[in-house]
Amino acid sequence: MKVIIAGAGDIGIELAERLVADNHDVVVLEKNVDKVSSLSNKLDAMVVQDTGERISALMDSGIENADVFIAVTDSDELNIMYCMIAKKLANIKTVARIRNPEYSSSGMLLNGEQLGIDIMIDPEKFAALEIAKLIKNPDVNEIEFFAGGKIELVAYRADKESELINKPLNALPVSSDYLVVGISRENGDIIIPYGEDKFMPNDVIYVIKRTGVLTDLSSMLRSEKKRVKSVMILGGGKIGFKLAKILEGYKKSAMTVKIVEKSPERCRFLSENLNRTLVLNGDAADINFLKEENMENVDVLVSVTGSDELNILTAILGKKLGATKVIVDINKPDYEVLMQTLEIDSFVSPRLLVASRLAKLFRNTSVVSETFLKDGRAEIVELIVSDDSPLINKQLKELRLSAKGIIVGGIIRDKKAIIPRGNDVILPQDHLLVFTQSSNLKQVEKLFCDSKSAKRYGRTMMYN
Amino acid sequence: MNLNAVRYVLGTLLLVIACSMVPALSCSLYFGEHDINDFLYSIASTVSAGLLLRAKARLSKDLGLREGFLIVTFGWLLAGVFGALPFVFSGAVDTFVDGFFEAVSGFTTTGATVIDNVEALPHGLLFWRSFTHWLGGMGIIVLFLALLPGIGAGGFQMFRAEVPGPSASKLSSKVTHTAKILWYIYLGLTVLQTILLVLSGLSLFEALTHTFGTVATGGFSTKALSVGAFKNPAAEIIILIFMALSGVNFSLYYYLLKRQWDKVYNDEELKFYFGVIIAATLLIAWNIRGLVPAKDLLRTSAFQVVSIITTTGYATANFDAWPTFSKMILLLLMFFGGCAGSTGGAMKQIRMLILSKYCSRELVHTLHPKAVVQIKVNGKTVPDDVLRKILAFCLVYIGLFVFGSLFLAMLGQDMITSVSAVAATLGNIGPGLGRVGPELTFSQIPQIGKVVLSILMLMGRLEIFTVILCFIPSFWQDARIFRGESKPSRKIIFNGSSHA
Repeated sequence: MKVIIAGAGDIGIELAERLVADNHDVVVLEKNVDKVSSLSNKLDAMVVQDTGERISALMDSGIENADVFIAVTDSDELNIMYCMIAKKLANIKTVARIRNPEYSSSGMLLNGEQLGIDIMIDPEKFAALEIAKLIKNPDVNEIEFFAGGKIELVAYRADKESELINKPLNALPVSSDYLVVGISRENGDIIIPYGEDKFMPNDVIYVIKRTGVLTDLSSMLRSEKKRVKSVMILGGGKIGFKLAKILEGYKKSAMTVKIVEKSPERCRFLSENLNRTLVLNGDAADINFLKEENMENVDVLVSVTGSDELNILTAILGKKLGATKVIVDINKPDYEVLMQTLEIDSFVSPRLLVASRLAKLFRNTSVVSETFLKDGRAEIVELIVSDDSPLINKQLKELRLSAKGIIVGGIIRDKKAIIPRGNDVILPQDHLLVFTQSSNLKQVEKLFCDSKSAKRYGRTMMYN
Repeated sequence: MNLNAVRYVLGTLLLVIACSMVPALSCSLYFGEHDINDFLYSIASTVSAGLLLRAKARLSKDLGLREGFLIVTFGWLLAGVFGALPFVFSGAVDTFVDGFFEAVSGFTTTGATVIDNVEALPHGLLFWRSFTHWLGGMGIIVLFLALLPGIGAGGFQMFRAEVPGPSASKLSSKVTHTAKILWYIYLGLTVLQTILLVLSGLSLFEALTHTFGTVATGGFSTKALSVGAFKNPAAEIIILIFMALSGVNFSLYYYLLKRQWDKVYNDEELKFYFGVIIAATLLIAWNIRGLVPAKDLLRTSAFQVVSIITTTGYATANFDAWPTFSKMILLLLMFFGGCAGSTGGAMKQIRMLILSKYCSRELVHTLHPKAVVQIKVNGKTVPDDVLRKILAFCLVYIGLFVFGSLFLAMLGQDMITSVSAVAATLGNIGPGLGRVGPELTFSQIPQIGKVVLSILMLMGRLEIFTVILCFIPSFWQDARIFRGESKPSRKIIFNGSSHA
């Protein structure tokens, strides 16, 4: 596929690197001359200097035979303009980063269609929503919803004291409510568990279950659900502000939210635009100040200061001081592997969230959605089984999928959600939730989906 | 200082006042009473004074902030002086000071009277008394602006100086248009209430005079026992409702007419206003439950509460005879007043609301020294300069209250009388407690005391600073200090909230 990316910021570079690694044809438009030259040296892509003022530059980039246009410059308005022009010049899918909610919320004067934008992305908002989801579900480390919210995937951390430690998977009672689909070990391995695999301390256990069903598993893993009463947000940047706004939107749940921000000016902005949140002007690195503000007793500590290192440090500190749960925002991929070791409960990465949201664009049409777990090494793929798949009309236990590192975690048939057992059968046009390591993705597509359409897109892998 | 233009506007204003005596004159013609001549003399002297002021003066367009303040202050003073003439000529009052007090009390919608035997007055004079309320309620300058087009941007300065509350709203881009909208709303309320009162059994004359007193939140009655004299619960309830309505920011009616429901529904000041009314009504009802028959309990309590809080001053009961707790509540309510942009006086609900938020902010600051908290009304931040002005206003208001009370005490009045008389005049309420209670009058207060109370009424009506400014020397000398503020670009739309 040919992809044009306007704007070589963090997200732009990230997307470009991944797409190039996946053998896509990538053109990057960037206005900063220095960035252009440094980028063209390290990226196997065409890098063009462009400020968005010349339509001819877009023509030169070969837009007429491109498939996707991604506008991720710093300016909403420029992104909109890029997409409008791109839509006029070619039949192309357009993606734009839009941060201003006035442009992106539904019911506004201008909608995506009029602006020529197919997909609007707001990385900070994705991150804020993700954190809010984790705050709403304090007993889990990760949570994702599928099939219109009928099925959820949650991740529990196995406590050292849990009764399940060193017990094998088949010691669990048989249940049609949930299915353990994966275990992430402390050393970073992700396994698709067999019956004999044992639970180890600090494992993160991925479970697919019907939404809202309380499983006995969570209590056995000592991950108790209790209502979050207090949240402290360190950093009043875009993510912090949007998160506070989302938390304020929750019905009077008596959740007290404090937000700590260093810049007095930003504090004024925050307090003008937030109603129930207490805005504190202070340094997130100032321990005494945080102690004074009762960091020890908060239920959830969210570190979104904009600096990965500070986020990690404050999170560890908060955990040591007694915060029940800590959530951090991480931008550098290298740090993501550390999370489990550092006992940081959850992390969000705007970069991964955007990649996850856009992944479908570069996939087979039968893939409904793709969700990255961990640092993108495992994923849940929601797909539609094609009529000529080799797997249909067979019982799951015959297929021996788990030997291939694939597990079917849920089946949606006639709008009903099924948590499959070994004797369930796959039918054509079923929606399946497949949990797998990202490296197996190609195989998954081949097995479940129409092989012809898979071929048409050539190598469809985007992440490995 | 463009004194030429000031003279012109003030002269025209006197002509308007002379015209406004005509309805009272026709009233006395209709009833054929002896005050016909008194009105003729008053009109003649007002017209000649007006023409004299206007002589060789011309309206020029550049009316600045200072001219605006001057016109408003002296316009109201002149209205008091010439409005007193009918009382003086007819002999209804003994001295000019008494007449001035009565007229100022009328124009400022206070409703405090020095006339002991109201019921003996001729109809024309009674009508004039109530009519001054009605003129003053929406503001004589606003009336003037509505009638006189072409006064231009300078008009807004006057408008701002006169409209009650920390800020004035421009409902429409043209100030004369805004003034007209406000007057239409005011007229609408007046007509509606008059019809309802007539239906409830009052005579047209009584209905009109009491409507004037109600929608202007004035308080002059044609009866010595005020509204209570009618013994007509239906009329009481009508007056009660219209007092409450007149205490609401008039901009909100405009929004209602324009079907912007959410602006009204979400108005914090409105909620605060009704919250205070309900709380005070219940407390007083509980306190006086033995004194008033159970079926009248809520009505009686609510009537006095609304009457005091909207600064009307009607009474259906002698609340001076109530227990101290109830009297204390009423005395405190005297400071609250109506909403900003209503015809009510005193400190205004919006200032109380913002003050209470200010206090809670200080509490938060004590607990979290590094907290950044903005004071917000209707979701909008109150800018610091507005906050400062409100604090200063409240301090000066309390200062004037203390000074006035001390002064009255010096003249030999007892404590309750001094305190309540000042609170009732400064807040444009009317009757106080003690010897100025609802069934008594201000007649026994010494002349000099009446002068001071009249000035307090004017200050209360014009929100203090307008009046004070005209009496500080630099106001007359240094034009520069005002220039920064006199830009017409500071026309800020106000919906009961945040801007000055």
